[in-house]
Amino acid sequence: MRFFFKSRQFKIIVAALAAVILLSITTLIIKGFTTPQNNLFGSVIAPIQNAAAAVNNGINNLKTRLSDNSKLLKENEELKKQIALLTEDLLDYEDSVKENEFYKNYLEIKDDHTDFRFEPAMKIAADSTDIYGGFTINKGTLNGISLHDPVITYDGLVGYISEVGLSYSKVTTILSPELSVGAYDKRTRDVGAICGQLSFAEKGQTRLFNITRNCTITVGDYIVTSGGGIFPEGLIIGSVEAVEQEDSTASLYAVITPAAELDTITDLMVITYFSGQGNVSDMAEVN
Amino acid sequence: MRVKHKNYTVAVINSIMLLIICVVQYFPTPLLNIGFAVPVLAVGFVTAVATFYGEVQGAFWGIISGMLSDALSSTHICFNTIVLALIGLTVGLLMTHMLNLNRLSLCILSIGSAFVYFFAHWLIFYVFTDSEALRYLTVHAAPSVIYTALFGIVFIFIYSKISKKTAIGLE
Repeated sequence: MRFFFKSRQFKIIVAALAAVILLSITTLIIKGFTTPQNNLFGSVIAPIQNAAAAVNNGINNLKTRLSDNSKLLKENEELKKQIALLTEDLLDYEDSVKENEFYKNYLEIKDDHTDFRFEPAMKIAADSTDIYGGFTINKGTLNGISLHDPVITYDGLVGYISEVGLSYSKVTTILSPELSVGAYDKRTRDVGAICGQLSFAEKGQTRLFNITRNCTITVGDYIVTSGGGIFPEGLIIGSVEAVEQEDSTASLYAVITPAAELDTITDLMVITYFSGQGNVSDMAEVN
Repeated sequence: MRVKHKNYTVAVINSIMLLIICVVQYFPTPLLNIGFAVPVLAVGFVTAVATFYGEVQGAFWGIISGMLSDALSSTHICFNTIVLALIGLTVGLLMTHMLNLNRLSLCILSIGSAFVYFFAHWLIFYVFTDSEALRYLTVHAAPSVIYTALFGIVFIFIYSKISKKTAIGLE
């Protein structure tokens, strides 16, 4: 075995590994772009993953069609339940008004932000080993996407661009502890910060922490971004599932179910520009 | 004494295998997940290649599959490249100099490789940064090691057949 360690082949392997490590460390220090080897391999594999994504969409469409009959029966039952629920909701006039106000406000926010520049993108690869649901999209710097751009769907915030290559980008989702974003309750204006945690990510949820004990956040409230840093104000994050007390401190945290369906999204939007766009250091100040 | 193989054929087979692995592993909708157990197919692939083709091929295909995985996975450093190259190199050296080609050693190598991969993953991405690092180890990594090892055995079985076909004599 010691002859192998003195052989030319072993030296080549070590040199190749050293080169990869050196390139990665340099990129890590410089930040902003992906490593050259990732760029190369990513660009090569991106068209194949694009094809895989197209196959995935096709399978999903086929599944939907096949399950239509049983789905209709189920939907019928669900609709009956929904009618009962909606009747109750209608009786609760105050809640309905608040909900309407929320949607109205959200629409207004969208209308107000004429400065937003969007780049449509498609999910082409998902890292199944990433518990926080990180994935790859089919757009990169060639499409005007840059590091830390927010990623959204029509439903709400998905995450941000954490690595950008020429023709692909990696997205870190709102379930990840790497992402910290200032947020507030749309109804009560109570503020906090969104930051993911493993046990919540397992259930597809995240948490709003640093909220005061005298807050009036309740289940069903909608949480939106407070702006500043890499996210614009008013992007819907999700709804409150529960409000609980922190183990170590006296403050509370809210369990948030993201509005965007992170598991099933295929098409999404990257906000490539908005006025007041900051950088990641502004996001870190949230912590 | 080593078995000599048709290098070109082996390279083509490995390339095709690697592309299939990448597409399946990083399919937009995860295909192989069972609960929190996630198999890392590249670990099984590298283990199998190193077992039948030696340490140099093992390390080489470890680097290639690691680079492809790094390009597609959420990890921002060259984690997969380093770990898979080391797994390939170690498995190859163990098979060449220490272990015999039998079922027990293949099972040990398969489980060992999967364990090393997930332990390194835990060590680098969770221990120092995640407050629930232990939870990752028990709830996610442990079942994933077993699941990955199962795929490792499948790859070893496939490559035992392939290596017989590609063998052309002794070195």
